[in-house]
Amino acid sequence: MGDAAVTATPEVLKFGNAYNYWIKTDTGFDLSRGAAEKATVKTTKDPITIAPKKSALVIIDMQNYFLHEKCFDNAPGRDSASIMMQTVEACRKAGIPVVWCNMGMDESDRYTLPPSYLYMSYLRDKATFNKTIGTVSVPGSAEPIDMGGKLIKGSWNAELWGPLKEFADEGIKAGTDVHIWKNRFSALAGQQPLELWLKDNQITTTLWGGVMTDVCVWGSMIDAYYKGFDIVMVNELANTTNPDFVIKTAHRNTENWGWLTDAKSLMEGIEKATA
Amino acid sequence: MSALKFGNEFNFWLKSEKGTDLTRGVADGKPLKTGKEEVLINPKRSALVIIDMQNYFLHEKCCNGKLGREMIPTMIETVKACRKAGMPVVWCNMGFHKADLKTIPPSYLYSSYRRDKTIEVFGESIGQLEDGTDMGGKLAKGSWNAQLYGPLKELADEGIAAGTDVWLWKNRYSGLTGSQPLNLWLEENDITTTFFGGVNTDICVWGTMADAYYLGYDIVLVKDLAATGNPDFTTQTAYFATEMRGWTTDSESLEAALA
Repeated sequence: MGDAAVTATPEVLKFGNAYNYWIKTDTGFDLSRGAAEKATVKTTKDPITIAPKKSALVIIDMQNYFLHEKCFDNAPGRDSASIMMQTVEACRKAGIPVVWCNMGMDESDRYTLPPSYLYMSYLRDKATFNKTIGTVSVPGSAEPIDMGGKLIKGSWNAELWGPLKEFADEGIKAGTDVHIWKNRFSALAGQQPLELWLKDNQITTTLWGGVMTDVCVWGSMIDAYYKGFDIVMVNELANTTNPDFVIKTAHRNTENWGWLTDAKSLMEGIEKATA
Repeated sequence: MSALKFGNEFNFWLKSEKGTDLTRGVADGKPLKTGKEEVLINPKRSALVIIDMQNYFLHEKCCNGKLGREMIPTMIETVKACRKAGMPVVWCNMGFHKADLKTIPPSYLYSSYRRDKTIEVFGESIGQLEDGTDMGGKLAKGSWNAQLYGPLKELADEGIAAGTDVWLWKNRYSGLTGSQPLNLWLEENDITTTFFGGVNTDICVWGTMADAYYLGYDIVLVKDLAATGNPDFTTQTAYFATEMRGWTTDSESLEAALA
């Protein structure tokens, strides 16, 4: 039957419809939707059993604009790059696609960006949209380079930060990773490419990291939840420079509607995937 | 000093030392005091969106939202002030029907199970009131529990009959995710500036506000018209996030602006 239902036998509870459902038992939540290959991952609550081929690790906005010292200067974000790359490598090995989902705008976006966003940008960068935000010294260049217009597709500031750029390029070339643009804090507000990609690839379970936990990461996660995707935050992979109470709120909501795990638990779980 | 303009020819703010003009070029904007600055609003292109003030969330026999109930006298006054000033009032409420049953996220079904401790198929009655009234299926359209609480029911019915208020359903915490009636209504009515109240501040109110912001609407949280039973840090977060993207105000300031 196609109707959403809660069906119960003594040990097993099923939530959802014939295509999109969870199975809850005493040992945790089975999110695999009957897939052959499964991996069990510890979380702050119950263990979850995921299907690597129906899951995706979505990494939000790890770009020069947000992380570089000359721009937003997000130190916790920069510090997470190492554990992030380790986790990405584990996902690649386990067949979990990795999505680098980054803020990027072009001329047509300029017309529809909220006045609020344009004003916020002006406050921070003291430049009107699309004008260069300045120059920066980079290794390998004798002269400082143009940072480009704020988060304009193709600019230096919209590229992935530091070692992540080459690291992601490798994965994209190998077919394990993909780059997707977004033009709002939430990658799933309105009509954006990430939603189509998730649907085309029949992803049910989304794992999240990137910056900032409370703004673009949680913003995207809540929209994923509304659209019926499972949501899992990977603690150390998500960072923010905002006060602690916003992290507390993001974690609380994550645990209410999905799960919070950590990089080590995720890597251990997916390493032991069984078919 | 001339004002700075942010946006396109239809959707723009004018920023000056005095504050922010949200009227989109109308001469007699109403000055409104907010937490940050004075803004100028056009009541005819603004809307007061009241979220989920329904029996399910507020009634003693259901979620028992005491703080939500306590707001009601103030809410009634603000609604009346909006009507007088020609600012539409939108009662945006949670409601499911059969078609929704096919797509409700597993996560939502599990949260419902945790709260209502029932394994009934979603849509079966959640019980009876003391006088025998069937409460109906949880948040089912047409059920008693999906109706507005107490005096708000009659208040809204008056407004809807008079054409000053409108009732819109939503089927997610956010009334603006995906393609819902509120999305269309705001567009069709040429609204630029959305004021929010209702329950819960941090979940359905803020959830809808975040999506309103992405869609390009101005967002203003009327603090004393929004309540939650969740811990204080969640309200702190909602205020913090609101101030980053829009403004907070209170019912007294809003009524003063509209007078």
